[in-house]
Amino acid sequence: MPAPFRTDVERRATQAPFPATRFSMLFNSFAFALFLPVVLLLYYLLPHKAQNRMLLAASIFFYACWDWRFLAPLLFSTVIDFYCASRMARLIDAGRPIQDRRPYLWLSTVTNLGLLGFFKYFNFFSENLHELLTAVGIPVSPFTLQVILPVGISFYTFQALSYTIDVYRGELHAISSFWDFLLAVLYFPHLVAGPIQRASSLLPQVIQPRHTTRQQVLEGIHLMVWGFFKKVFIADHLSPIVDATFAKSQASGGEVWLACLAFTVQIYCDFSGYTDIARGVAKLMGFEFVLNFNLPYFARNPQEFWSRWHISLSSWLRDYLYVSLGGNRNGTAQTYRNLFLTMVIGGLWHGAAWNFVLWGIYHGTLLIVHRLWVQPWEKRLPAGHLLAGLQIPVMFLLTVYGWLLFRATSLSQVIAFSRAMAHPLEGWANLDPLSVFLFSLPLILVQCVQYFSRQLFWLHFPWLPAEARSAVYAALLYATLFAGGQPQSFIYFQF
Amino acid sequence: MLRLAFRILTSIAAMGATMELCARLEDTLTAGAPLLGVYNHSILYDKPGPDFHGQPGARYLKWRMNSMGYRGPEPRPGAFRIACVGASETFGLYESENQEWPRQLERDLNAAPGVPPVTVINTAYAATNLRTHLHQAPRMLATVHPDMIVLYTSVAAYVHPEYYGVTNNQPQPAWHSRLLVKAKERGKRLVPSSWFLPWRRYMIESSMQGKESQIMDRLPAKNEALFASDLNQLLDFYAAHKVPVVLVTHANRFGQTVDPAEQDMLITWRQFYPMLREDGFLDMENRLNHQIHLIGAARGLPVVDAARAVPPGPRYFADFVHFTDEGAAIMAHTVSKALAPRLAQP
Repeated sequence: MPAPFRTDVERRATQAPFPATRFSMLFNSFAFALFLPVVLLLYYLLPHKAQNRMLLAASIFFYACWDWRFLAPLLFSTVIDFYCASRMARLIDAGRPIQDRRPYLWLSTVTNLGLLGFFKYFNFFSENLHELLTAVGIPVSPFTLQVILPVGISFYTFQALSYTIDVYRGELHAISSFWDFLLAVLYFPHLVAGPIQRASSLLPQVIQPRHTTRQQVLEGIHLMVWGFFKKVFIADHLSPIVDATFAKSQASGGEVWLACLAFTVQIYCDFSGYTDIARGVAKLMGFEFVLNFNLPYFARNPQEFWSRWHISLSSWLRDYLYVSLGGNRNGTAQTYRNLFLTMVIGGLWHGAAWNFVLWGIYHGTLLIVHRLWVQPWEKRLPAGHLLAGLQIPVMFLLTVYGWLLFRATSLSQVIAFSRAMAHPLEGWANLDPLSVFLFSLPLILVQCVQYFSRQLFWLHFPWLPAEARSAVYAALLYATLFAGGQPQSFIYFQF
Repeated sequence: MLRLAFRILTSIAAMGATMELCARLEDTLTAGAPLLGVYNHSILYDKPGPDFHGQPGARYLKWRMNSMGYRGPEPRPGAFRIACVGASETFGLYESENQEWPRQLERDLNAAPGVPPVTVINTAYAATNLRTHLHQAPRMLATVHPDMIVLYTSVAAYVHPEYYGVTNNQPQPAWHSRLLVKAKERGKRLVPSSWFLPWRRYMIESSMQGKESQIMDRLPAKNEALFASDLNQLLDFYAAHKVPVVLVTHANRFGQTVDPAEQDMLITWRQFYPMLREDGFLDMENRLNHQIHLIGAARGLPVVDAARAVPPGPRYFADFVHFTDEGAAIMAHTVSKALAPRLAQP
């Protein structure tokens, strides 16, 4: 018989102490708040070449703070990519045919995708192969490895690949300085979660002297303040609401809808917040990163959604995968096949799990259905606000459902939650939709201003006095510093 | 140029005013604080000085006073009344709301088999000691009418025998910046405490400059005797009013020896009592706890040895003596284990 006073507390008191927190350099961490000013100060004091060396050292330090062992695969692939590109450049200079460059392209591709496949997908494919063989009656013992996924591997792999592919295609000349190339790959603002920078865009900025303009400083500060606000105030406050629902195997229709809507806002604020901070930090150093989000929830159709959401990935997949598969050059059926494959691989890029594959299939299907049956109708109707007013909510709801596939923890949860969503009016009595609405409200207001004014820098209106702008920044800063949610890691770090 | 400087200044002023307004709006929305009035911990008390009392119904952040001016809910009518007397360790500083040990004690006792309904009144205030308890005892007995008192007194005040506590509940003006208070709190949480160590050492040294001769290696015997005398005086008062008392020894984060990793916390503790060297603190705790045992034995009072029951370390103590939620739970559990057999009905 248990002792009458033995409580849960007593049991917990015998457990091991709390694990020490790891010193990781999150943008929303105190460590980064110290790191960035030091880097900026040094940056402004140094000449161009020394700036690049300092940024390289800072980027290596930034990455090593996660785990210094992660540097090994990164450096290995960078060395291979640099070597392959240099060899291909020599062949181009010697006027040799494109076939001669192919072995180097293969070497670079196999190295990059091999590393990505090993670190990210080995266990996934091994487990699924084991299940498949067992299902068909071939008994094999499961074989998985304790592999730690290096932070940002999906991002820097794609970035490095873009360099060798561009050199192979003759669209970019290989860079002569290995250290500058290493900086382009390792540059800390984009290293762990993008935006995926094309070599053709970033390398010239690394090589040439940079001059930070006043406009860049203003835009950089704007992006950082707004990015931090989106992440810390909106996404981190919505995260517990979403997590609580997705920790369940069954939920009411109302709860699933609310969680999916909250996740729709959370993932946008989390990822676009990160991107904004990265772009803002880069601007302070005179770098210009590509736009990664352009009001995606105002998209009118799936095609437009993918030209607004995670633009650096979708354009990468279009230029290097869809085009390499043949694009739309070989007839309608092949085009749809390529489109579908691209989206499935894009889904799998996010993570080694079937729900990401399902998410890719879903979006591939949406794109095909839109092209096949909806686009012809759209072309017949007069374009205008009325049509857009109908299309935007429909596309938004389709996107929300897509996020269910993305966020779900299992296929059984996808099925259960999808069924629940068919009854959207059930179970609202115990829910708190007001919290979701209030935390989302700043985003909704700002996005409406951005959409209707066609101005992404939504505080940079010439008619707005500097004092009013400062007051809005101060309110955003206050919410970020003092009223943020429980700190969470960025969602896209896991990819 | 002048125009630009003016714009910069007005922009900075606009930022400062907006952030202060945000800080006040947040207090209003989350804690019902007045937008323009005074809002700091001083509003929990009626006046500064040793004979202060809690302000009935006052509320500041997570701290809420009941209609009697004590932290916590209203006492349950008809239930056995236990008054917890103590200082900030009992009042509760770092614990989540309703996780301070008197609240947890009430829950533990009411869940114990055979124990009649119990209501626990947390009569403690921060920065008090035995002398303050004695000063406040008549009013406490008159308002609470306790059936039992659990005395968990702070001991470090006896580094300064003349110390009467309550130095930090001076009211601040309404215009005092709430933003700065929040920034200070946030800064404390963000920056690792070890980073403040050189500054703390400097503060200790500068506060003792010219008073080096007053620095003590250990608590003088006369301070220990004063503690014993004050404790006896308080217990005499309770005995005169026929209220049974349970004594509780004082627990701290360090236990019997100081882990080298915890040295910075010991220095933080010393900052409040700079005339006692760090090595003297654990000795002081042991000796004054020994006095509690001796007096308890001499008077036939039960003594709960919290000093041994609550494990040392940051998991249970948020600073040198104040509990975390888990520490408060163990404290409550330890006390309830001692009380339940006494309260249990046959």
